[in-house]
Amino acid sequence: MSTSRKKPVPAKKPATSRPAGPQTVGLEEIKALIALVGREPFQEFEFEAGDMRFRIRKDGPAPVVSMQAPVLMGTPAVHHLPAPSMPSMPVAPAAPEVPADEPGIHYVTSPIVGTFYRAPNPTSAPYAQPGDFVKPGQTLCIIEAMKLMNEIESDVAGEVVKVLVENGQPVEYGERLFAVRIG
Amino acid sequence: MSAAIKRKGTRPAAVPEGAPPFKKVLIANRGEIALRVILACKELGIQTVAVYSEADRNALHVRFADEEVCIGPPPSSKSYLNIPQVIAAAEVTGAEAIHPGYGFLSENAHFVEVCLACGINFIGPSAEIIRKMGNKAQAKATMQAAGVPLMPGSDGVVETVEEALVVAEQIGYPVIVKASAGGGGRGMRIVNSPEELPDLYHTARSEAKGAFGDDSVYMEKYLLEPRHIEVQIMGDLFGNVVHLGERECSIQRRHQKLIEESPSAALDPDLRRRICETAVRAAKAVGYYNAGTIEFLLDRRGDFFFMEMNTRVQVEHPVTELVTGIDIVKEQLHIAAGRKLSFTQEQVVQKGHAIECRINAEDPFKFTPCPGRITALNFPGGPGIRVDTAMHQDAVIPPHYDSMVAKLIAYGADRSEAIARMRRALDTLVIEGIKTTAPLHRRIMDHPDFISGAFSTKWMEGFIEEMKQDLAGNEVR
Repeated sequence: MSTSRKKPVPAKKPATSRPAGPQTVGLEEIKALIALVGREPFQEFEFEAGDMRFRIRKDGPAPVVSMQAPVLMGTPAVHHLPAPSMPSMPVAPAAPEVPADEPGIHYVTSPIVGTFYRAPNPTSAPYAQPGDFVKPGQTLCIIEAMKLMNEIESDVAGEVVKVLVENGQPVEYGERLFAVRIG
Repeated sequence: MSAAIKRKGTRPAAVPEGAPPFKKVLIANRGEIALRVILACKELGIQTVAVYSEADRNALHVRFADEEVCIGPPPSSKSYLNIPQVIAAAEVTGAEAIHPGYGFLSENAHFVEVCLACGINFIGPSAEIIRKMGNKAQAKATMQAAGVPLMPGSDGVVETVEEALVVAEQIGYPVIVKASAGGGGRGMRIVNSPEELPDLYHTARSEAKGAFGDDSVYMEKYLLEPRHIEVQIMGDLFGNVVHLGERECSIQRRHQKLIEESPSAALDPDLRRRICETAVRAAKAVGYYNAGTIEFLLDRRGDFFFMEMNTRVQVEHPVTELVTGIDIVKEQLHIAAGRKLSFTQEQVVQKGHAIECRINAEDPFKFTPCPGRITALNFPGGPGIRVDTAMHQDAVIPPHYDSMVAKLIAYGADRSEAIARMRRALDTLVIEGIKTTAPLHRRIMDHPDFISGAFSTKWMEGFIEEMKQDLAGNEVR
């Protein structure tokens, strides 16, 4: 994720949502949407409403649905913004500088600002290596902030495919730390 | 690694005479004040670190800082007010000092202590001073001991008519009897003489009983057409304290300042000297250092009373900068680095006149906030105009923070030139996509009361009424 000084990042679009306020999308609606995306000519579909956000892509062998908690928390006030009128239009990803996600890959992000460590101390083995299978709640790394060591746990089960930050480097809030293939 | 926290651009050339006060400063704020501090740092050759919430990813303070760190989601409590996140951001970037701006953590004594414990320099006064001035009762006691005039009043609840008469005699008429549980004008009576006191005292009590279920009342001096006059103070760690003259901030609505100017049309040289010297005495009484402001209420007869002290840089600091030629933010940085004040009291001269209009993203007539996207933007320029803002074309004003979008500041050789420049600046200001209070300011600039300088803190109430009738009349036509 690099933000270039010279090239201003395009301003984030307001979330596409019906002005009615937070709402839930049921399993039936999701099924219907997958079917719809399968029929229509576009490759990718992303939808955000209330505190729910999901994305459907067609470039895998089968349509994959990845759902995640919204990156943008606490956005009830978004509804005060003029919302675009067509809820089914594809919208730009919420964070423009983040490269397109691979299907089935979940990113473990940093909940705090601090210094990233892969192991409990310099002589120990890293908590997690690429190729390791991890469980939800398993410690993946430590982030040191204000002299406190904070253990960061995986929020999914799957295979670690990549460690995205070098040991000993600073990380910011929301920064991606690990790529985990769900399964 | 996070490219976002990497330094960008080239390191500024070393300042030839005298090293910069700091190598790297983190700005724990957003919007125009964050940008204001970044500009001062750039001039001094200091590297800057911006912190930001996810709602401010595209903000100018993020863009113009040398490094930036995302510290949390949009709500302030989880980002700009989140002390561990701000401190961690300073630690990972190696910032030596934190400038808090105004609002957010700027008057949080606990934050100042955490900075100290983490070996980070806080650009402002000590935690002890902030605590002392933040506690109303303690601040008043300190000021009284220093001989600073306080608003005279009863010591708590006034139980009987006899007591009321004694208190009123002590503080001098007119007095105001107020419900202890009160608000909104109910349970309030203004008393001009001892003859009318008994009746009004009783009606105030019974009204208080009816409105709030509590008939206890207290008494205060009633100020005739009070004006809000504040004095800019700067002090260093060597005990030097100077004032930078006064600011007139009487044009306010619900205690929110809308227009500030310096000097005040209400002060003659003698009153100015007395009020400014009192402010210096007040600051010295608490061992004050860095930038601060002492606020007074001034009545029609020239009596002034201490209200409160703000232990930070003020929104309206530019008017003082324009008339004194002193860069308050740069001076703050020097003071925090342990340097002596770069000027003496004799070197502070108020020259010309400056007026600031706060342009808010609000409906200009209903004052309801109006967040949204700016679709077209033109800021005025030309002689004597300064615009402090962090707005840009396509900027989105998030609903999470305050509604001020720009400060328009006009400077002139005298007050009438400053007003004339403000008028044409407002006429050439374009902000489309959101509603702003600019049209309100334009009307005020044409009002005879504003032009003559005859207004008090109560003036806006009448002006808004006048404006509503005017607008209603236009609709009928």
